[in-house]
Amino acid sequence: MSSIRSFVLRGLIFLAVIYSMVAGLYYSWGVYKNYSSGRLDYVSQWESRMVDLKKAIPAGEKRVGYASDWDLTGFDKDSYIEFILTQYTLAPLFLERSLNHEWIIVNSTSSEFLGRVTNQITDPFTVRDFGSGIYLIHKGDQ
Amino acid sequence: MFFLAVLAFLPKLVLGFSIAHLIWVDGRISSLLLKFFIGIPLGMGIASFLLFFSKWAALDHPTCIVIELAVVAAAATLMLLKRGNPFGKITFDMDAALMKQNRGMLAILVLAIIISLIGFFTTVILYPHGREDAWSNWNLIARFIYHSDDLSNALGYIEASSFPGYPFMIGLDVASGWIFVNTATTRIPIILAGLFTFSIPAILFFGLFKTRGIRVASIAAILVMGPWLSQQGSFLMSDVPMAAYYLGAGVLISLYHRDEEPGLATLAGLLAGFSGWVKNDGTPFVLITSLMMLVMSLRKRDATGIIRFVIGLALPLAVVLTYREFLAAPGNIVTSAGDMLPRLLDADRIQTVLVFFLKQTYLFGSPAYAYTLILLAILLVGGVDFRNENALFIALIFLLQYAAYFAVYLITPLDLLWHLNSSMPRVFVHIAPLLAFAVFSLVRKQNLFPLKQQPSAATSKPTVD
Repeated sequence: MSSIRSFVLRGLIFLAVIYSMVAGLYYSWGVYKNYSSGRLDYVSQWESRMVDLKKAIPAGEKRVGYASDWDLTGFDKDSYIEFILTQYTLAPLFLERSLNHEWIIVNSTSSEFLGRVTNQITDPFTVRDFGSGIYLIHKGDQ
Repeated sequence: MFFLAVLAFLPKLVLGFSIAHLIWVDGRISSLLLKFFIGIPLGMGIASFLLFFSKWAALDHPTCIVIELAVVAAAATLMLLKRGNPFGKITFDMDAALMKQNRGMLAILVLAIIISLIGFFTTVILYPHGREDAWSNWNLIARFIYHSDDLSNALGYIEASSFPGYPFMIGLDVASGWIFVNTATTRIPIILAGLFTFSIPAILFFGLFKTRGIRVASIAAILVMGPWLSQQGSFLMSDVPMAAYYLGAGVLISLYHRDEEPGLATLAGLLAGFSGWVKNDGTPFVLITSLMMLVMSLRKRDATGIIRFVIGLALPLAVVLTYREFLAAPGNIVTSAGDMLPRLLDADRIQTVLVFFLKQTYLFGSPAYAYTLILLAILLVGGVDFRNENALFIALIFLLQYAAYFAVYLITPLDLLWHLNSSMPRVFVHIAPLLAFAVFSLVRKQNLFPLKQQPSAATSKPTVD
């Protein structure tokens, strides 16, 4: 009885070891297929999009405002992710979801949204378009 | 940049090994190698403390480097003065004859390591910033620490996040690496994750080698290096480091129980304490391991174990309490007893959590992995060695931690389904290597290798200089 149990156990371990290694190779193959398709990960893509915006904000700034579709339509996962991605890219600059800042980043795919934001700003301001729905508002300029 | 990034962590590895060797005196080659791999989580934990206090005091980066190097030099010098050259009097309990005798098994182990390394590096090349929790939490916090004069930005971000009051050891270690190479490169979190990830099979291997022999150790290390480990490690999150602390503490507790070398209990206390510095999830582990060490000491009628464990626990605990007292915002999981009790007794919640737990225990993140099922099948077929009290202690630590996680989901004031979906697969990562150690400690060895006695260092006491 004991030798049967031992035989089954060793067979089980043998299969588990083979299975574990084959599953490891299969996992790596899946990742490699994505890699060979040349897809850049979305964090790196977002960082590339933000290069010019980052340069446009003076180095001494500590906090900037941030507005996005999220403020119009309520919470959604994509807007949240883009907010955190922007925060990650611009750190240590602190993003606040508020218009009460000299510099405000607007991230929206809707042309109406930028108008809604600028309508709420009473100071003189300028808007710079960085493409792909990213704008930078600077208060104090004409 | 890759090798520079590796060099950035070298002082931390020297620090970890020096402290491990200073505390635990054992000149066997298996013990020295175990100390080297235990030194990875140990060194990272202590280095994160140094940067935490340096940044809290708003010190500049060159001063942070000088402080870390001075502490590393002091620890290494003290170790050499007190213990002598660690490589001067090595006892070879893993020698060429043993390797030759088990060359087939060891060849499979090397193949498993290569497959796991391929899995890890292909993923980090594709996702150099890691998965969402890595860049949105730890690497972002690291950027705040690295680019700011002090901790205010990092603490402000944590307070405004969905995890206020959370400790941030991984963020500190990433920032520390960046400070050493003087740039915020993605290589640093990758190397950090790699060190933690591959310390796990190594700690498991040398822990089991000392208690159950080379064949059991090899099988366990091969199985723990299933694709889940390289995948989760390459996500660059804090869950694999957490697993390294749990496993390290479990292995050292087990070795202490067997050898009664007090240094092992101190090291176990240090590693258990650091788990509470990685994430809040480590708090129940600190309580559970303390309780088990107390029970162990009462059974032995010898307080040495619990006293030395608490001595080890004191440093990380003091830092965590300082952080909580002076800097951290209140946490949002543990609320008042009146608030938690109805949730704890809610039958619907219990059922929801139970279903998620059972499903996760079975799936372990993906049906392709079947990790838990494989381990449980081995235990079921192999049989439990109930006379092995040492292994039963480790299994009990695992089960209590499993139950503690269950209880956390019952009391959470956050949306239950969101909390379960967003964190449960990762919570299982914390305890998965400890489960492997418990299973391979518990399974009856005569059913694994019945034909001949396998060579093992299991019965010998440590060599004390």
